[in-house]
Amino acid sequence: MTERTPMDPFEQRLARLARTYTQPAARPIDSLATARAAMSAPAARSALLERAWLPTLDRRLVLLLVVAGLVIALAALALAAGSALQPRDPGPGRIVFVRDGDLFVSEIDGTGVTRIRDGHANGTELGYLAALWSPDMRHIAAIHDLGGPILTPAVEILAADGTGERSIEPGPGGTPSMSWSPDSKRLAIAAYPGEVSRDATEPILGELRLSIVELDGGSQEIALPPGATWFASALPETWTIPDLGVRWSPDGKWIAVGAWNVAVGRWYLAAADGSTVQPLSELVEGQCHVPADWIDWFPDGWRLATVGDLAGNNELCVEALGTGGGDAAATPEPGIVAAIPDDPSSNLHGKLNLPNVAPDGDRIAISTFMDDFDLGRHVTTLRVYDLASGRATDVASGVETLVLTGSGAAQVTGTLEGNPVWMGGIAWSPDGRQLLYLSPEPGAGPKRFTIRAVDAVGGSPSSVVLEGVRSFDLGYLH
Amino acid sequence: MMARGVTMEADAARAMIERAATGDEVAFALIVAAHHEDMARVAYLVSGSLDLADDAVQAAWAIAWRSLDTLRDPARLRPWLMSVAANEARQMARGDRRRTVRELQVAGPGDPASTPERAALIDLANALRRLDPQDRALIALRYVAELDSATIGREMGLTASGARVRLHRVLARLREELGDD
Repeated sequence: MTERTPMDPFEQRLARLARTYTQPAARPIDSLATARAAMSAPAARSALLERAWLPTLDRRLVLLLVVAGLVIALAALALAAGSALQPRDPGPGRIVFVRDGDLFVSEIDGTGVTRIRDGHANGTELGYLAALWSPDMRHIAAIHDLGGPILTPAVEILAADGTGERSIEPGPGGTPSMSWSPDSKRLAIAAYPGEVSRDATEPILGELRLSIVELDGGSQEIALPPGATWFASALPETWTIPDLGVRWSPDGKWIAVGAWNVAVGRWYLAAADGSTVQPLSELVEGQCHVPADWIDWFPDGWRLATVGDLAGNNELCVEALGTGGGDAAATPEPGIVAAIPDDPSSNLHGKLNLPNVAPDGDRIAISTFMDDFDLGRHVTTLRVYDLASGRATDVASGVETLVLTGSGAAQVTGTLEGNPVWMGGIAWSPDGRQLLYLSPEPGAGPKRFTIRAVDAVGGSPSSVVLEGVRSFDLGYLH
Repeated sequence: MMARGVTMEADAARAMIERAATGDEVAFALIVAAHHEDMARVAYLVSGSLDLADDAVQAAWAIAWRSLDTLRDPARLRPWLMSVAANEARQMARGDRRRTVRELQVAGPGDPASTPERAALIDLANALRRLDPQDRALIALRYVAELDSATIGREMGLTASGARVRLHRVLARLREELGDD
C-alpha cells in the first residue's frame, strides 16, 4: 500500500515531521470501550451521510438514498423480526477450549472453531491444560505444560486472538488455578510448587502461593497462613478444571482461595490489596453446619454459594459476609439450600460438587453423584436449585459402571446410559437459559470430554457443542 | 509458502471483519486496537485539534461498524478506515471555522525534539492551517497513513491521476512554505 515512487528528501522530511506533529494524537485508548461506543452510537447520525466511498455524490441524493434505505429497513424489520436486524448486543458468549493440547475458540454453539495457539503437545507433554477468558474478553489466561519429567506449568497471558504472550512460570508443581479481577486488569494465580511426577497417581500436597499479576506488568505475592496447601496430582483430570481453587469476588474486593489445611478443605478470603487474609468461616455468618469444600460468588460480591461434606453429610448453602456492604434484604437469604445426610444403613454414597451461581444470582447449578455399591452404578447429575422456590431440577444425568478394585477403591468405568456429568466445567449461558457441561468420553489416555448444552429448566435432551475437549471456559462481557 | 501465508492472513482478516460486522464486540475491538492510532493521527493532522480529532475518530468508528458488512476486500480495510477518519475530520474542521486559534502541542522540558525540529513543527502547523481541509486530508493519507496515490484517489472519489496531480500541487505549496532544503 506504500507509494511505489520513492519519496524525495523533502517528502521524507515531511513524513517525519507529520509523524512527530501527530504524536500527541497517538494516545492509548480503551479499544473495547471505543468499540462499544461506536456500536451503540445513534443510527441516525448525520455522519452516516459522510461515507468515505461516496464523497463525490450530491448530498441530496445521498439523503434520498438513506431515507429510502430506512423505509426498506423498517419494512424488513416488520417482516423479519428476530433476524439480523435486531439490535446488536454483546452476544451470547464465546468458548475457549483445549483440544489435543492446542488452544481453540468457538462460538457458544460450537460453530466457528478456530485454533489460536499450538500447544506443541506430544506423547508426554500435554500442551495447554486450561484457559480462562478475562471478563472484558480481551485476554485469555492459559495454563501450558512446559514439559520435562516433573510437571512444570506456566501461565500465559494472551490476547483474545491468541497473539502475544506473557509467560509466568511458578516453577515445577501442580496445575495453577486462575481468576481474573472484575476489571480484567489483574490475574490471581494460586500455585503449589512441588515435584509432581508425570506418572504419579497419588495426590501430592504443595504449599499454596497466591500471586496477583498485573496485566501491564508487575506482580505481588499475598502471604497465606502457614500450612495452607493444595491438592496436586498427576492425574490429568485434576489438571483440567479451570478456576478451581481461586475466585475473585465480583465486586473486586476479595480473592477466595481454597486450600487443604491439615487434610481439611478450607477457604480463605484475601483482601485484593493483600492487606488481610482470613479464613472464610470467620467472615461469614455461619449458616452451614459443615465447612466449605467449594464456593462460588453471587454477583453482588457479598454472598457465596458453598458446598461442604462432613462425614458423608453434604450441604449446599448460601453464606453472606458479615463484614457489611451487602443488602440485608437481598434474596436469597443466607441458609441451607439443600442437605444430603449420610445414611450409614444404606450402601449409597452421594456428593455435591462445585456450585455455580447463575448470572442473575437466582439459581445454583451443581454437579452431583450418587454411588450405589450394590448395583455397581455411579449416577452423575447436573442439578439446578431455584433459590426462590427451593425447587431442584435435574437437567442432565448419566449412569456409569462402578466397580470396586482389589484395594477396595471405587472406580468408574464405562457409560451405561445417558450423558454423565463431570464434576467441573459447568457454565451458565449469559442469559441464564442454558448450561454447558463436560461429559466424559470413553477411551484410554488423557481424559477427553464432550461439551454438551442443556436447557436450564430441564425437560429437554442435551446437545453436543464440541467433542474431544480437555477443558473449556465460556466467556461473555460482564 | 508465502502465498499460503498471505491467504491465511487474508482469511483471518476477513473472518475478523465478518465477526465484527455481526456484532462481535471483541472482534471489533481488535480492529479498533489495530487502526485507531493511525486514524487519530490522520484526523489530528486534518483538523488541527485533538478534541476534534477524538470526535472525528469516534464518529469514524461508528460509521465503520455500520458499514463493515459492505467491505468485501479485507485488504481495503486500512485505507478505508483512514479515509473515513480523514473525511470525518475534514467535515468537523469545516464546521469549526469559528475557531481562529489552533492547538499546537508545545514541547515540554523533557521533549527530545530539538529546537530546529520544534521550529519546523510550528512551520508545518502554520502551513497546514493555511491549506484547505481536503488538501490536509491528502497530506495525511499520503504522509501519515502512507497510502499510495491510486488508493487515496479510490478512497476519496478521485481518479489516480487526479489524486496525483492534486497531491503534487499541495506538495509544491508546502515546499514553498517550509523550504525545500
